[in-house]
Amino acid sequence: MRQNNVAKWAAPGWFLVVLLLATLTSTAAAHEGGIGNEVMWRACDSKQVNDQCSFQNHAHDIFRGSCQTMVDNMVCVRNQPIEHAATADGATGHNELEPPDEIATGSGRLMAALAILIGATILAIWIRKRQHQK
Amino acid sequence: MMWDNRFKNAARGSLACILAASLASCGGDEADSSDDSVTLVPSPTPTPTPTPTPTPTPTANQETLDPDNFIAAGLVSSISTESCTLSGGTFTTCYRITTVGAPSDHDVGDFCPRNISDGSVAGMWIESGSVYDLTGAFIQNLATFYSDSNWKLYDDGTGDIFVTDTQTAFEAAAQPNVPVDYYNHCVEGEMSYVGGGISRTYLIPITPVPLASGTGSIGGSGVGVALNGISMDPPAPVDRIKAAYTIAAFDDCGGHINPAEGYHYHAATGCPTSVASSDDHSALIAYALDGYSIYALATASGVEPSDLDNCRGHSDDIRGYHYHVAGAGENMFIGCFTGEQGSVS
Ligand SMILES: [Zn+2]
Ligand SMILES: [Zn+2]
Repeated sequence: MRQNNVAKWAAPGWFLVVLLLATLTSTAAAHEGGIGNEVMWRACDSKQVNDQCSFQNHAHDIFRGSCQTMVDNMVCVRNQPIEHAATADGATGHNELEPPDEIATGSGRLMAALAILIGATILAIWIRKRQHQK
Repeated sequence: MMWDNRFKNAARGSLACILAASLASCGGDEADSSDDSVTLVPSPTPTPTPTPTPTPTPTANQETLDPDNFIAAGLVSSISTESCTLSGGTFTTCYRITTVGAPSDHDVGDFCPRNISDGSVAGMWIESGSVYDLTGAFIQNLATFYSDSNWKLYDDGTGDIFVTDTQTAFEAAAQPNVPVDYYNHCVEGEMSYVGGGISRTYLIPITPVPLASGTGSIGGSGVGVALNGISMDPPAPVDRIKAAYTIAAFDDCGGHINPAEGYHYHAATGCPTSVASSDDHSALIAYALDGYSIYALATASGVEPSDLDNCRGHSDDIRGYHYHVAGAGENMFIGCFTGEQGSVS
């Protein structure tokens, strides 16, 4: 009886997973092409002149500065020395207390979506296996 | 019973993962639009305190533009002085600097590689705060680099790269509204397409005049002039460049040619003439439109200043107030002006 409930729960669970996947992948698609120096301009979206801003390069080096207007557009102008990934926060260059920085990028979201898909598949197989065993 | 508990734990774990992943993903966007949080970057260290708006005070030791620092070959005529009105309304005396518009201290180009099998470095491309060598392999890899399959600047059969190798093609592609025929091109020009160089006249204050309040934005007139007489231009929003899938290639000196501006710089790579400092300070490379000196990024021993204001300027006892350029990969020089600007025509 309980396992029937589990099976019933699993169906909407799949729906939830598919819904989340659709959300995550569409967000990722919207960010495609959003790499490159575009990050310097995006870093000042919804900000005002002299607000603090920061962005990363492909090597995860961190650039910190303030938003300045250049030819009618706002761009992040670094005024601190570059925090190189290898030394920014320890040997790995990643802050273990924060979500991986890849998450903030389109490819990061795709990777997260894939991880969820794989995890959900394993979970479903396991549930089915248990049902058959029963 | 055991199954129930294990399932509950697994389900809880999965849900937690899904929710955590969702929140983490959304977090990036939240940070993008937040005014008071760090944008796009997780904060590994406490956010530094805001840098105060620079207000350089005139000092007895304030360095001023020295006409002798310019290369004579880069000038149409000797630098003279004349009355001028600065951007803040101050009536003062300016240097009149008329440039040739062609660098006499280095070659122009190369810019674009010709075939995807071409392994030698032509020019350079700037992305994501970094500089990339423009090779055939880089052009071949653009679709992957930009995660966009619309990038394809070469012929499948021959591997030849689509380059704007005529004046007509250059004039069509080297401007904001690129015709569809010139999408997916590596854009380059020759000095002969712009009459050998486009002359400009700068009026730069002999004595810099600090703005009464705030800072001045960098506009279409650019940042200033290098010691070889070449203009230092502001960056163009990358959206505009990438919309037509064109690479407006830079040469190794961080410059390129367009029909309106002629040859101009977008990055400081250490190429043009500079004047070394007598102490352990970086070299003088240019003068800004407000009359303050512009120095290279790092000191002679490779150290970047850590006390720059929002305009990328600071003061010392020898030079007074001055600017330091950003890195070549940042596609810019300084952030704003702290003094009243002269003009360019
Ligand atoms: Zn340009
Ligand atoms: Zn300095």
